[in-house]
Amino acid sequence: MIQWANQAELDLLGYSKEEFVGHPIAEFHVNRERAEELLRRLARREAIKDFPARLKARTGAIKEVLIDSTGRWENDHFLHSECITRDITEQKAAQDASQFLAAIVESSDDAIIAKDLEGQITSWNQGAERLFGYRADEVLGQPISILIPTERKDEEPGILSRLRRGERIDHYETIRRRKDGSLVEISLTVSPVRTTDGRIIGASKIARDISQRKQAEAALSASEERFRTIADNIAQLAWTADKLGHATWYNRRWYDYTGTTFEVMKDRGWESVQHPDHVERVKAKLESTLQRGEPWEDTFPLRGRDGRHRWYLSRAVPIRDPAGNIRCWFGTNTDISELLETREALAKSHDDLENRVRERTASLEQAIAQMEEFSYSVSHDLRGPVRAMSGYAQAVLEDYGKQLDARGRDYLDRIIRGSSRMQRLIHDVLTYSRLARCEIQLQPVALQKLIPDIIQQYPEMQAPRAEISFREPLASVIAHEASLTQAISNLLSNGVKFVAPRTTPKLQIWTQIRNGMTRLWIEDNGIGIQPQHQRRLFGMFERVHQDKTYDGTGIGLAIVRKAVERMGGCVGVESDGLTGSSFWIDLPTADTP
Amino acid sequence: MSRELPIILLVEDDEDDVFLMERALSQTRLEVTMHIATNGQEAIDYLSGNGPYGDRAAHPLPALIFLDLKLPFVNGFEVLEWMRSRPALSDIQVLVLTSSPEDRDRQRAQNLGVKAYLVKPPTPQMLLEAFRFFQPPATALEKASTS
Repeated sequence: MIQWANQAELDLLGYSKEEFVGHPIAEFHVNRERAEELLRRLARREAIKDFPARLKARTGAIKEVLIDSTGRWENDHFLHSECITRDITEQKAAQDASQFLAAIVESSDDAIIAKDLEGQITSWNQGAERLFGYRADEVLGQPISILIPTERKDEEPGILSRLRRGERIDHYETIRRRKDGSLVEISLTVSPVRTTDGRIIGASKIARDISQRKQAEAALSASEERFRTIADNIAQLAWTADKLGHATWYNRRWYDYTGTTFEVMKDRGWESVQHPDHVERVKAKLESTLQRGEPWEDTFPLRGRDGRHRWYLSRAVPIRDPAGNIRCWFGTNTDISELLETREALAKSHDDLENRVRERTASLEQAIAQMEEFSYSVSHDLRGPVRAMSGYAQAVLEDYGKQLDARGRDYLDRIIRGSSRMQRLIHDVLTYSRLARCEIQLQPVALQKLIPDIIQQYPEMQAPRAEISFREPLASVIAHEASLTQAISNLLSNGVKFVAPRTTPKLQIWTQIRNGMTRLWIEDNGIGIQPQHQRRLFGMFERVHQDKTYDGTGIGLAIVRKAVERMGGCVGVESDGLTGSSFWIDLPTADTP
Repeated sequence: MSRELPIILLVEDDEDDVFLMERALSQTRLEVTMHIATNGQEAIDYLSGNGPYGDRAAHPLPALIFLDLKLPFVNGFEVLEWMRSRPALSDIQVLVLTSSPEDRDRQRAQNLGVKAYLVKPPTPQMLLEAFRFFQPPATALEKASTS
């Protein structure tokens, strides 16, 4: 219980006498246990000196105090204690701050050193220990010059004289020596240290190891050097520009080609080597690309040092910082004049070629037209005389036959037979040439329908003169119907013609599908074809039977082959020369609907 | 009133073909009178009544024409085209009689309104069939004789 307090005590804590005296002492301690400890020690009759405690001021502020206290005893009976309380709040705060600063200094990665004006080291933190390798006890009181390499000894007097003038030295890059003698690149900041009254009593030095930064710088510079070397030696013109399209750098090729300098070309200087007819277009496209930040591509002429323009394909890409903002643009210009010339030449030669093809086609068409005219004339002009021969021979035979002997009549018969063969020859030759030149349009043709239709037109292919049977169903093929009709008619009429005397022709027809192709078989019971003759069977004017019984022009199978080949198919025959022949036609199979 | 014989006009430049036609016609034993024009221009003159053909008693308009296609000066197709532009001649039937079995000629003749396309040489059977199909109408004959 507080029995008495002087004014100083009351002022310290800010209470009135009534608020303080008569209250238990513990009430004013922040830490009640501290108060109890104090009382316990007093009870043990200790004289208490500098007992640290924290007291609550009336404002709620906490006061750091030191308490001296002695108990008064009478006959082992505790009377009271006398307490002297000293406020050390500010002292304590200063001490805390100092400790805090010291902790910062100690924990700093940088070397922090203090020295007096004579250059003697007065403070040495752990950072300094790490950087230079000396422990604090090794260097305190030593001259700072132990850190300075011999060749830089003359730096220190300069630094000291600047310090004395009160100057601060910022980021001074130099080299210092470690305890082990190795050199280290550092950045120094040196500030004068003053007393509260402004007197300079020394200096603080903060040294930062910049070896890594220097290495990084060296690496960067090497990388830049490499980039320049590459950029200067590529075939393209190259440049960089800021985000507004202002040029910041060009490679050597640019200057070689344009014959300009950076001074002329920088910023928007590049506009001056644009072709007047293109500059507005180029600028307009560039502006919109710059705004959108998309890769840029354009083709335009650039003026060379000789004043002539060459065409360039130009491309640029934005280079962005990690946040995605455009830092700059990197661009190239590739000379495509030769490419364009080549392309033009190619286009011209293409045109020339097309013209020549057109001319040739025209002259071919003319030739074909002449051929057609020729065929037409042949058809008319050759038939006339043959018809006359046959007609007059017929007339003589009819009107004067009775006046002739058998031999005379036989001669007339021969004239008639010869002229009718002549007519068939003319007919077949014309059929062949028509087939060879007619336009062919391929489409599905159903053999199932086509073949009976053909047979319908020829009495010699029908019963009782012949027997034609099918193995149904017959497939459909991709063909030109008229040409296919011609080919099959010829094969069928051969089939019913080339049989032994007094034999009824029997034909078997079927189809066989394999790998998308259809093979149409026409098998007969005829006289067959010797294997050695089969090879030339389909040639023009080839007849493999000398026997006059088997009348023919030698063109029929040539017509078949021409027709089938024009439709993209093949034709062939199998025969042992004794027991009939099997002719076949291969054509692409059509999907049967 | 004596019955007039049907008149036919043969347009043919080749005298051998004229001979074959006359022979085939005589073999049919049909009673017809055949006039001959030896080229296209002559056919047009005949049908127009130009010059000597103005005499319709000697050169009456035919009911049937046998027309060759390949003719000197004016060919058969040109004759057909000319005839199409003469409505007065529309009753006359034209039959093509040609050496050419070519489809393109057959097609072209058909497009010009030809109803029969015959390939030489003419035979009596061919002519009989033609007359059966193209029986010369009496009106045409009357018109022909009165115009």
